[in-house]
Amino acid sequence: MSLTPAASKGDRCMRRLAFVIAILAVLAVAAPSAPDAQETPRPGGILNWYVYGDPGRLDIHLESPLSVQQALAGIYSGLLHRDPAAPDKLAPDLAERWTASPDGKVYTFHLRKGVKWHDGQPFTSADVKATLDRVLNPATKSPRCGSMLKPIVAGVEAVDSHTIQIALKFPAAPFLEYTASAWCRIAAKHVLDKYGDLSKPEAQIGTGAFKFKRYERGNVIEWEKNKDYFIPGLPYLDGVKQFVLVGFPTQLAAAKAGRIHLWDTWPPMKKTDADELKRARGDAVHVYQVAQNTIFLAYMHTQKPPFNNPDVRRAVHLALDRQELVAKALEGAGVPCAVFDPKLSGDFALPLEEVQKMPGCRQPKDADIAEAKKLVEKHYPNGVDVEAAVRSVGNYVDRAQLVLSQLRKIGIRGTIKTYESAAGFAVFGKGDFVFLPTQDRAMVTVDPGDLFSLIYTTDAGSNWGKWSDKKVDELTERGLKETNREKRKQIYWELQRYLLSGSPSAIPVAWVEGFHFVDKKLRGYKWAPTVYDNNTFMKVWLAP
Amino acid sequence: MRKYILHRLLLFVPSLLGASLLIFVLMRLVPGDIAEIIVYQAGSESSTVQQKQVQEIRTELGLDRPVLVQYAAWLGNALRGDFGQSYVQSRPVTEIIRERFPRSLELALLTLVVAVVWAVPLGVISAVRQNTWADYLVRVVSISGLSLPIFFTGVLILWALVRFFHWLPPLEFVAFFDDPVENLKQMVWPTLAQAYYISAPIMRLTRSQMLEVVRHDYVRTARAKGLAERAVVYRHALSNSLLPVITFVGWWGGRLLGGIVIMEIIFSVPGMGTALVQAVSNRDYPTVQAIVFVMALIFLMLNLLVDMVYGWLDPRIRYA
Amino acid sequence: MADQTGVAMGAASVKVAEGDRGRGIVGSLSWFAARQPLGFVGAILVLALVVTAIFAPALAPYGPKDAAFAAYVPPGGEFPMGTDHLGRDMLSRIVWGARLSLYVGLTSVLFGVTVGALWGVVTAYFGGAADTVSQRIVDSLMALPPIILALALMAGLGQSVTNVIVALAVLLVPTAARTIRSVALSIKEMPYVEAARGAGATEWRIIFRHVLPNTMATYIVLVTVNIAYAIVVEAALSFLGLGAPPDEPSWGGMLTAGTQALETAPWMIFFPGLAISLTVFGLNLLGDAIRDLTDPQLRGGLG
Repeated sequence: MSLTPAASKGDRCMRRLAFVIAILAVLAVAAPSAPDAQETPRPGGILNWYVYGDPGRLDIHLESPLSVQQALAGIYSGLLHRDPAAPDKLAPDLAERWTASPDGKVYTFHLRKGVKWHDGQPFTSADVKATLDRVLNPATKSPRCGSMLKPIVAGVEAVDSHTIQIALKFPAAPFLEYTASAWCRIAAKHVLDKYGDLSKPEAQIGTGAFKFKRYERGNVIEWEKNKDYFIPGLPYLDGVKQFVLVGFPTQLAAAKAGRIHLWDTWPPMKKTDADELKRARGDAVHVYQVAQNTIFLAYMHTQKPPFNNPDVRRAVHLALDRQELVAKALEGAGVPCAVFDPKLSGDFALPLEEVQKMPGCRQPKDADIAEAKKLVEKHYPNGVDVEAAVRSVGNYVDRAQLVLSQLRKIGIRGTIKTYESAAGFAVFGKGDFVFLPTQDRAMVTVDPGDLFSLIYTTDAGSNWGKWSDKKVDELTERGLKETNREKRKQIYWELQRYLLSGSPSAIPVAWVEGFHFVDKKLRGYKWAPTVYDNNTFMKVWLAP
Repeated sequence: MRKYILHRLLLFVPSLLGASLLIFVLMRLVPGDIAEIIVYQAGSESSTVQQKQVQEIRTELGLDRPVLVQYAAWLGNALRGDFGQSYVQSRPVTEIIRERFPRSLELALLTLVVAVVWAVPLGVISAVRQNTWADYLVRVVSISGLSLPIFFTGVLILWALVRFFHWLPPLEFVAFFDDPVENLKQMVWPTLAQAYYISAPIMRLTRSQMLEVVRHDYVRTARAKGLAERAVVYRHALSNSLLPVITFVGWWGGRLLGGIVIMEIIFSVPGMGTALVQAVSNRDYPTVQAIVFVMALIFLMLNLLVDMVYGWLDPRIRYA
Repeated sequence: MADQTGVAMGAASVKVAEGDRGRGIVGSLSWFAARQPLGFVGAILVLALVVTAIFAPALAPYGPKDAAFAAYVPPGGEFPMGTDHLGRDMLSRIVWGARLSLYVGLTSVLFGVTVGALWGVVTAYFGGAADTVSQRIVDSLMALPPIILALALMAGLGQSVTNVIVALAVLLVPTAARTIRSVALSIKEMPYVEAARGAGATEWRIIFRHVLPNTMATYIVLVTVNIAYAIVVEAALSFLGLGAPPDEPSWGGMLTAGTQALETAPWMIFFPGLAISLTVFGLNLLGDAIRDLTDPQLRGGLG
């Protein structure tokens, strides 16, 4: 089947519908932008918010921290993007329109004409080619855009100054989704030629709604309105100012004092913070609970005892009380046991009614715990001691404690070994652990394939437990190549059932939700399904 | 005198070498380096590619060489004034220090001034009125400043400002010389919290020195000569009591530069302390190395300065 | 970071007071209370800490890590100090926290100051090249900002109560070495040391029989003053996320957790805050009193 926008409209609508219903269900009470649909946007004003840490190197193609995306989201444009006014669908950005060849292997993008870089140079297909060649080059080490596109893109060709063709290795279902990712924004060829990379503030020359005005390290990042932005009348704001606030108490105080207009990225606010904010600001802010596109996992190393034994892994899966973990560790903000969150993945997610009836996921836990205990006793009659590696960030140690107290019931006695944040990643990456009771992984897009190619396939980048399962590898591969949406859905449903009834290395504990807020003065703001797509601010405006 | 200073300056060399070597080795013993952070944190490429990338980044940065070879290379460059490029900020670390140092210096100086202005008179009162309710009150108040962890005082100040005054100090740091009012609106809070905290030892030292000095003969003589009590206290006793106080304050000054990191974090002052903490967690070795070097140098210089002031105030001390 | 240290303060000139013996316990106590009312208050606070620490298992109604109850229960009834964000009984955590604080404070300081003292005495006694080199090492260690030492050590060793103790001890070694060395230098020149040497005592015998015991007063002051310091620095490390693991009932860690629920559960900061401040307050008052008492010069007032 063809993937041109027109032809795929039916699919897209279905998916959108499911998505919208899900979102509405969550946001029923406090949809941030509901009341102002009819108002005329008012130009002017500076939006204030913060970033949780200094982004350091600013290269949007080479870096992976959220802070980099926050620092640059409004500066660049992509071929496609998630329209800030309707973030649940992909929309044209630098590409006015696109077509796919009948076999779905060649995409032709027709680029906007008359677009100027922030330094006045004209934007052409050479820039797109330079960008894509850059991220596709293995020597570039592009962890987000590169790692998504490399497996599926065969080559990039500039047909003329405003037409670009991308050839795929096979008709890949998530190609457009990947292309629209905030990590695949287009950079200028002349800038890349001049600076070599994009890590310096002066190299931040984009085509986006805002220009990179000032970056004082550790202090403040400022954007200013791009008066020559290719959509006339946008952006409404005169500028955006991000304070670098590393202290948690400072962030909360800033929100309570009304000095920032929103918080909508990672980490979300806790319930207690949200309550405190509501008390302080009352009706002036919308506080809403929202899915974070992030999964809370527990990893077991499949090549080290006791977890080299599938029975023991299965026992852990059966014993974990996800509902309790969500209630206590996530303050109720999470979807227990789900491999996918329906709010984000729509009907690609196995229906929660089915998930919540499966062994390990169901309540009450008694039967599953008894079964788990038997499985452990079969191999370790006296129980077994394990060391649990935990990064000491956020509430990970609290979470780990809850996990371990649940496992104690089945004879797995864990002791916590904490790691400083960076030291932890080094240990996990090298596989120097037996058990990781808690680690969150954020997805870059909402495509269901991402989770499997990030966590579960044999050569997945975050397959820290070194799990290798032929069926998972094969189904993931098929899911990537399957272009029929219904068939694709069936593949992912099968994968989800397989994971939940089997003994994978990484156990899905929950999809993480949390609290965000937006000042009611900030109008036209819509929350997008990934934290990376929220903050171009090109269509928001400030009411007096 | 000149010979003494020269001798002391010469002693800086082994101290700085030792300190820099120590931190160099220590940082490399901490698990995780910049290459692993970059690659594993994203965790998106296949595991074999990740391992290859880690090696490539290490080779690029020279982290694959033996530690002592790396140190020699660093030292060679440092001696020529080149402290290298920050791994994270893609610019010379000297630039980072030039940017951050004045901010921490300002905070440290303000803190010391406020602490001394507040603590020394209290110490004198406490000594003059030894074992009266005034003495007890002063001691209880100042020691209670020491009794709460400083981050807690800071958080409470922040919370109270918002809760009761609906006001928050500026979130963006502005240099004093650009806008003194805006600058002080931000700096006054960490200054007060930190000064309250360190005033206790200064008060206590002033008090005990006063008590000690008043027993010395020249004070007795002065008193016998019929000088007013006030004159005795201030002219003779206080000026002599101040010596150890100066030592202590100088010593503290050197410590404060790195010690105010918690205040920097809570009141969002982008100073040396936050830069150091961030560089440690990013394993940005060149930045850590340079900041530690500067802090060590200042610590040593302040010590020397204190000793010189000491000699200048007290002619009995000779420089050997 | 908080690096309040009292070690630089006039500790070198301390001598144990004489002539206060033979009064009986009650007599001594009332004498102490009259002489040093603040010190007496301090002593009572410290005593309360020690008693709580020793009898923690009996005093605490539940285990300090039992997350068995509802979260954020306000103080009263079953939970006199409420429960925390994970549903742990605050009273139990505070009580066990006394034991942990005392353990961390005492062991780190004893360890750090003892190593420093031995180092100081030995190098002072032998002098020469070893002393010069050792002085430079002490200089190097002191020149390093304590924050970096603590951060690097905790990041390198991993977070555990033992490692917090190691890191705090390392921070104390150089200052203790320097202070004790200067005391030992003057003792070395005392006539009785000369006499012992003349009588043919070995170097090590002189060190351990004559020099070391005479640095004891300084040693005691260093220890008393720095226990409070260690407790506060542990709290500061907790705030930076590098203290004892958050499940341990460390007062600093509890206070840090409390700052994240300032308005929802003010009891989560009130009780640990009170516990830390009373303890540190008591230790400081007691330390001051000991210093005053051990230095006969400080007796009497201005008048």
